[in-house]
Amino acid sequence: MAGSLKMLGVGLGLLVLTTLSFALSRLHTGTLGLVVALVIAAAKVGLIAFFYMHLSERQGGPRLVIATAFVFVAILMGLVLVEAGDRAAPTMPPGPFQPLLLPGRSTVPKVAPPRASPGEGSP
Amino acid sequence: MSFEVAEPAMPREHYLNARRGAWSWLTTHDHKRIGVMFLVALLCTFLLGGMFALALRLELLTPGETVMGRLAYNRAFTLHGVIMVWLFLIPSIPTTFGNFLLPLMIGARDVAFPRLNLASFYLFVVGAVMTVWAILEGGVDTGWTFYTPYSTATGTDVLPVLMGVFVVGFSTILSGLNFITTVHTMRAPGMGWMRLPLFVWAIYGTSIIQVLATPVLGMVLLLVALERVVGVGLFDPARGGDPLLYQHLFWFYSHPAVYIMILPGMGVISEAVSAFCRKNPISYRVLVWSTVGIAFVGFLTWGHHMFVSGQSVLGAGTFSILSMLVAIFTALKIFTWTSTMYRGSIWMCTPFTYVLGFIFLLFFGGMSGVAVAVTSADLHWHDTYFVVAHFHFIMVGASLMAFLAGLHYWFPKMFGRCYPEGLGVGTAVLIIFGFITTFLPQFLLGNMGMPRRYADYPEHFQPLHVASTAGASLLGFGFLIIAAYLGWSLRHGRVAGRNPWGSRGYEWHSDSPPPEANFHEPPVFPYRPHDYSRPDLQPEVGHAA
Amino acid sequence: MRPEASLPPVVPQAGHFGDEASRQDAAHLGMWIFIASEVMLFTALFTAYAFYRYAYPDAFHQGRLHMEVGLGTLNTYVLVTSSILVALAISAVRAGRDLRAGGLLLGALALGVVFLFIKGAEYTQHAHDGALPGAWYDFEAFSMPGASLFFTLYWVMTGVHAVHVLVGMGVLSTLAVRALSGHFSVAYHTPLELGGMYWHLVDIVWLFLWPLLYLA
Repeated sequence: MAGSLKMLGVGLGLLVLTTLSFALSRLHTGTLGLVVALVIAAAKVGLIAFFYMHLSERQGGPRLVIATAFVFVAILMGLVLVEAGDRAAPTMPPGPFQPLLLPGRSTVPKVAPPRASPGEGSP
Repeated sequence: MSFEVAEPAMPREHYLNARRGAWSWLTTHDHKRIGVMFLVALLCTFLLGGMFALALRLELLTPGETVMGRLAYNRAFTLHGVIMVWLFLIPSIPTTFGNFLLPLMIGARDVAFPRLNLASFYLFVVGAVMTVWAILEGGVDTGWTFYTPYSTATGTDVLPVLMGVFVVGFSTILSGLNFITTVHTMRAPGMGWMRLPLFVWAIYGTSIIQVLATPVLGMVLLLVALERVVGVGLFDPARGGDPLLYQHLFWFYSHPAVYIMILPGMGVISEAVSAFCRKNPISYRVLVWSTVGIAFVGFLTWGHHMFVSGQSVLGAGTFSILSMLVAIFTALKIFTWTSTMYRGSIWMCTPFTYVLGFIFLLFFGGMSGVAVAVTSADLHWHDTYFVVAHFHFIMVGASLMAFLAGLHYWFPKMFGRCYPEGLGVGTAVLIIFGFITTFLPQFLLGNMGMPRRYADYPEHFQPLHVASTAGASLLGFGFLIIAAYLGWSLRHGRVAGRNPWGSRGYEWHSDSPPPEANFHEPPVFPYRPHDYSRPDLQPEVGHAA
Repeated sequence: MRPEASLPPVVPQAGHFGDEASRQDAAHLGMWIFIASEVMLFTALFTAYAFYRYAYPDAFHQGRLHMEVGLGTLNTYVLVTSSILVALAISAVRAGRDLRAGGLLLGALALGVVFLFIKGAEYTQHAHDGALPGAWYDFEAFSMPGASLFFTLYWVMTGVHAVHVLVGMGVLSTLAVRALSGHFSVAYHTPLELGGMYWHLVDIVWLFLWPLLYLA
């Protein structure tokens, strides 16, 4: 019965955190709100992994596996965002021209800027 | 205590004859039989991919149209790439020798999940058949990379190929999962991590890459499929998507995939160097940690495929430097192998000939890899034959040499018979020579500006192309000889006995070929793996009844 | 070098593994590796989300105004509750109460059905608005660059998740039948633990989808 009570307690925590996350989102705090929501989600995942997915009963292997997976999540997202963060604006979508099939595009298509004649300003 | 006497006899009962009939093979849970079935399947795909390689070289013999039109050429190189990468090189060593040897090397009866192992084989067969059928039927012309937006716009039928590769990916994940769990939970009691044979370490590192990278490929292929079916537009610039994101996700898998191909090969070489120099590896730890290092750093380098794709400067610089780190770990391995050979008692037999070829070609492939990792140099070499030659030195030069080294080293283990040694060494020399003749001219061609994936070229490139085609036909001839003498040896080769090489590898502690349960009696490993310093210590293994 | 002490032998007579405990170890480790690969599968989608959120900050910030936040939040509660039921089912089996475990599993399964129904109602609403993925996007009220990508990602991410919910429901129903017919005991319930872990994984993915798509 002790096991059931522990599970119920963890479950109560999950429901409280869910409510908290929802309530905080009503405040519309922008970027900070996103960070807070993700931190709360991570806390809930920690609870589920440790107690519901039996990580608390398993040493070694499983913990190593899941830690490794999170390292690689960070590598994939991190390096893609680092690369995108440094890109010159025209090479990020939607790019310098108005894409033809993008909803919400302005009705007047922008034209490509005229090419500077060679010799002036270019090496 | 026992030493093999002059005329060894085949063990009376072993895994090949313990059960009979095709059904016993198709429903087997025995890791050894599954390894052999994978070997047969992979040799078929290798034959198919190789035939198309020869067709490509034939087309490039003369400028203009030689034997096929341009669309046919595009389809042929797509077929060659897809089959060689996904249906041969990635599964090659782990699913064949890994399956066969990993449990033997750690003193286990089987892998952790034998039924999953069989499922992995059937998934591979289904995926392979789907892929091959789809390419032949739909005539895909995208190249093996399926770059968007071309792959979403081309009129050829890409969808079934994507699904085929997706299914093969599942098979890869299941194999990797199985091997990691086996190494973690099924080592013989007392076999600590630092007593694992080096081949086991290599398979372990490879499996980690497979498990973590393959799902990303699966998802990205699914997105391309969705793009074709419902036009989701995630990678379509016309809908505000970013094709470069496709390349990020694709290469997050497909660059580490290169290490899926090469790490097991390095494991084979580590085993073979010690066995045929009769010497302990100079540093076991360096070989282990460089394996782990390559597996990890291999994930940080994918952006070097995108230097000319509009990637940011910071991104390109970061990926360029991270890519060079791989060379450090590879160099550590090469130095360890060569210094292990130094003053060793070298036995110049067939596997060792391939080992020498491997080290030489890996050195060239690796060094040219550092060269193309330099952003400024890559602007010149990108998408030329220089890159083609570079990755063929790694994938064919190194991976395939390691596969052949393993095939010859463990052929007696798997089938209990030896092959004609003189013919083996001769063919190995022919293959290494043929390989260099094929791909050395391609370095020169690429540097002169010959772009890859072109069916046509100007007149003055012809002499080098002719040399390359001549080398390719030598290679093809060499493989035919190997197929002939190994096939002959299956039935008529000299009986090998338990340990024809006198190797100290743990896998030789059981009979060759091993009994169905791997060991008749509990094996005891009284020395470290690859330990040749104490010849007085003999394995204490029970004998066949 | 000092000669190594002999390793203790493996015991082939004991069959594949030594005992039930090491069988459990292997099964759990294998399941965790599978979960790790599922995590990477979804990471590809989350990376795409992060990238396009970075590229179209305004569209992704305003996207939630056009979502069914009430239904999405309700679904979060539904899925979390079903996870709790699965966890309680395992506790029940460990305490030797099979029937109760079977009932709890059926409850979790029912909540899975509820989840899919609510999801279906949401999908219907979006389809009615014309907020469909990619080429079929035709939503007048939310028409700015990046809006179509927000909804494309919404459909793909929740769609892939819904497929996992379906698979998880298949797993749960098998487990419920086996629990009710007395296959599990205090000593042997590894399949129940593994199936439960899969269901929790489905829950975990939703716990990230919910704030990203509905809240912030």
